[in-house]
Formats: sequence, structure tokens, C-alpha cells
Amino acid sequence: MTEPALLEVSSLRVRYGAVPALHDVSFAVRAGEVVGVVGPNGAGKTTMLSAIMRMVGWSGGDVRFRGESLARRSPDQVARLGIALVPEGRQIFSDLTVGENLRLGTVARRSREGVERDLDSVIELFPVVGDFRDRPAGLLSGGQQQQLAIARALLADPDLLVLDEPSLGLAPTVIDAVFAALDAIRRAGRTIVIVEQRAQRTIAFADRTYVLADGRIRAEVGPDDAGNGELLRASYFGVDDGSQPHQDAS
Amino acid sequence: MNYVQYFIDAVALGSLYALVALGIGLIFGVMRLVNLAHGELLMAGGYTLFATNGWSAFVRVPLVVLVVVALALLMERLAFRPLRDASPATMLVMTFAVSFLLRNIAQKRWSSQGKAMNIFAGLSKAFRVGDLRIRYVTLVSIGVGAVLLLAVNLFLYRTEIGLQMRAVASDRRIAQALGMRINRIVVTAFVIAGVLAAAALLLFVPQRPTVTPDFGLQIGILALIGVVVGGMDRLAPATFGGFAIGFANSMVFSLLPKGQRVFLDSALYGLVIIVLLLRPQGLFQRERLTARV
Repeated sequence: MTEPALLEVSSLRVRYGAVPALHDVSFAVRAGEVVGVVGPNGAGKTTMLSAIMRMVGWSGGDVRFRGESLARRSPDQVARLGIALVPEGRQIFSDLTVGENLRLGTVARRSREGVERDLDSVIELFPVVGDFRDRPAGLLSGGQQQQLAIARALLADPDLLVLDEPSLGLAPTVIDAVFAALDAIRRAGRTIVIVEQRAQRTIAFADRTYVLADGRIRAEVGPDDAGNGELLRASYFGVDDGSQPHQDAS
Repeated sequence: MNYVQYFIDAVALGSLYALVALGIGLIFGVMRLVNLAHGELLMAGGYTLFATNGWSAFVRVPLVVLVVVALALLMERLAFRPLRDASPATMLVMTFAVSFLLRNIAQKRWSSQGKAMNIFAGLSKAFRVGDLRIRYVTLVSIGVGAVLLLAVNLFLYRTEIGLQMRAVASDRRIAQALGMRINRIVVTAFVIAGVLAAAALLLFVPQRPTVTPDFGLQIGILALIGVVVGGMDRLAPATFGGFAIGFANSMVFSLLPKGQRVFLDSALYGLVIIVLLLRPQGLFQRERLTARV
């Protein structure tokens, strides 16, 4: 690792009241990489992203972005530093129009320069957000809302794009379209962290993927491991040294 | 005919309640806070008028706006901001406590006796159009109400911070994760709500010329009921709700036989109960746009 990490998560811990949700999670993301995080429902994936965005507090550890600690930052500051979140379940502003949602994506930009160019390029990537610009976003289909959520995040021109379960609740053909768009975004040089329950697809797509279960990172796998069901099962079910599994995946 | 007269008066009172309701709705939108102390902003304006009796209106009007906005900002900063992530019940109790505290301060300082506010005496005068007797304040209330409602609408739909305010009202967590500065937006909402409350107060004076510690409570609670009756979740229904409650208040008052006017509140609240039973989601609320798959 010659280049310094863009995002560095070290020993991050989160607890909800007395219940620990993340235990000493550590990993790093270099500029230009696509890093996946997979794991069963309840593994702590969304908690981890929310913690990086400072939307939930930490009970220990640190997250550094471009070398700077996020410990004292608020979520809006994290966004303006250059991390854009595509939240779980889309969470577009359903009362506002598609165009207004896109405009709000630009709030976190560090420079107003290039807004028009970026708008053109997201419309090229997701033509539907251009076609339905004046429509209330709540009237879009699930897949269209997901495209809008990604387009909105891209308009922040972020150094790091973070996606929380972008395939959740979408039809298979729509998922294909979403991953195709993500591939185009990666080819444009954007750094991506993608959290998913669809393990195989994510592992095949990402440069590296971490398996998260029970709030801990269980394994790091590469695209070649996408077909290795044994390894995945072991990580998902928390089997250490082949001894008893202790958590059921849903 | 008398009914036209009643109608015009009712529209005027409705406009004033609409201003108060819009302020309540704006704050509810950005903070999910039902501010029971909103009426005390009007009370504070009222005592400002009493304390400056005899000064020029050119000084008193801006001073009232200043005092009311300052009090709104103080409430936000000292009482509501620290509780922003608390439960709605906690916030509600806090607003109740703030309301109670402010009324008690007023009572200690000025007693519970009514004090004359004395401004715009000329507005109480009336002119005749055929059978109709129209007071100037009626026209001014309708005019100022319409202009301010339009201005807030333009602000929300034509400016960048207005757009952000609507986004925060829609989902504060996500708005913040997109980089919006929540404090700045909430403070802006309180400033607007303060200006609207000050304007409403100034226009209330000709028909309610004395201020008591309970002055704001009566108006605030009625406006809040209007907001709930109209539909709390969106600004337009909330504002219409405020208008409707003011309109109904004036209409019921005019239609009740002279000796029966003590029953105004009973009649009005009876009407509110019926509306809430028939349309619990709000009188002017349409279906929410949620085409989630």
C-alpha cells in the first residue's frame, strides 16, 4: 500500500444503549477503489455506514477521511468534506420534484463550478431523471427512485460514493441496470463503498469485499472468491476454525 | 345583506389566523415541534406596544417585529435546539413550560389586568358601501395576510434556502447527510414565524385592543387547532386550517343570536370535534405521495 488511504476506519465501535452493534471494525479504502461490504441482515452494515457519515455516534475508534479525523464532524460537514451517501431504501424527498432532488444534491459540493456538466452527465447515465424532472419524486418507481438517489449523490461531486443496499427491493433487471450504472461510475474514476446483502454480485463487482457479521469483519475476499460458497458460508455464519455456527442468517 | 358583511369580516379574521398557523406549521415542518408557546410571541409583541405607548408608529412597528423575532430565536436557541433529537412528548412538554414561564413573567410584570396596546387607531374606522360597513382594518388584514402568505410561498419555492427548508421538513436526517446546515435552516424558519406572528399581532390590535398574559394563549391554541384540523404535515393545509378556524370563529360569532354569544367557544370546539372525527388526517390533506414498491 504505497498510496495513503482515502478512507481509514480504525477500531470503530458503536453501541445502541447497552447493545454493541459494531466491534473494532477496521478497514481502509484507497482512491479509485471499489470496496464491498456484505453480510446478513442485522450484521451492522447500515450502522457502519451511518457511523462513517456521523449519523450515529461512536463509542470508540476513529474514521479518517483524506487523513482528517471525522470524530468532531457533523453529518453535513462530512458530506461537504466529500463523502456522498445513497441511503438504504432510497430516501429521496418524495414531496419534491425530481429536479429539486437533484438540485439538493449539489448542496455539498465544494465548488459550484461544473454543476451543469455534472448534471448533463448524470442525465446521460440515468435518462429517467432528465425525463421526469418536473414530476414529484414520490411518483417514480422503486428502480427510478434508486437511480435518482444515486444521481443526487453524484451531483455532490464526492471523492467517495457510499451506497447502502442499492439493490434492496428492486427487480432483477433493475438491479442489472443499477450495477451497470455503478460500473460506469467506477470507470469514471470515482471511489465507491457498496454495502449489500447480495454477496456474490457484490464480491464479483468490487475490487475487495469485507464480510461483516455480528458487527465484526469476518473475512476479506476478492472477486475470484465470488463462487466460493464455502468461504462465504463460513464467514456469514461466523464459523471460526470450523467450530459451532452461532448466528442464523435470514 | 348581513351575510356578505359576516363573510368579509370572517375572511379578515381568517387571514390573521392563517399567518399564525403558517408560523406554527413552518416550525413543525423543520423541527417536528408543536410549539405551544407560539402564542406568547404575540403576547410579547402586545406588551411591547403597551410599553411604547405614545411613541411613533414608525418606531413601534419595527420594534415589535424585533422583539418578537428575538424572542422566537431565544426560544429556539435556549429551549428547543438542545432537545432537537428528543422525543416529541419531551419537546411538547418543553414548549408548554416555555409558554407557562412567559405568561407568568408577564403576569408578575404587568398583572393579569388588560393593558391597552393603542396602535393604528385610524384602522378601526369604517366606511360604507351600500349596506355594508367595512372597517379599514378588515381590508388591511386581508391585504397584508395575502401579501405575506404569497411572500412565504415565493421564498419556499423560489429560493435555494426555501428549497432546503422543504427538504428538511421532508426528511431532516437525509437533508443533513446531503450537506444541509440544519441550524441555519431552523433559525430561518423561526425568523419567518416571528415576523408572521408580529404582523398578526399588529392587525389583531383594532379588534382586541388590550393585552393580558393569556392574550397569546387564546390565539395560539386556536391557530394550533386550525393547523391540526387543516392537516399538520404540509404547510398549505395547515395554513388553510388556520384560515378556516379564524373564518369559522368570526362566522359563528356573527350567526349566534346576541344573547347566545357566550357559547361561541362551545360551538367552535364542537365543530372542531366533528371535523376531526370525520377527517382525522386533516380537512385539507390529500393522500401522501408514497409510491414505494
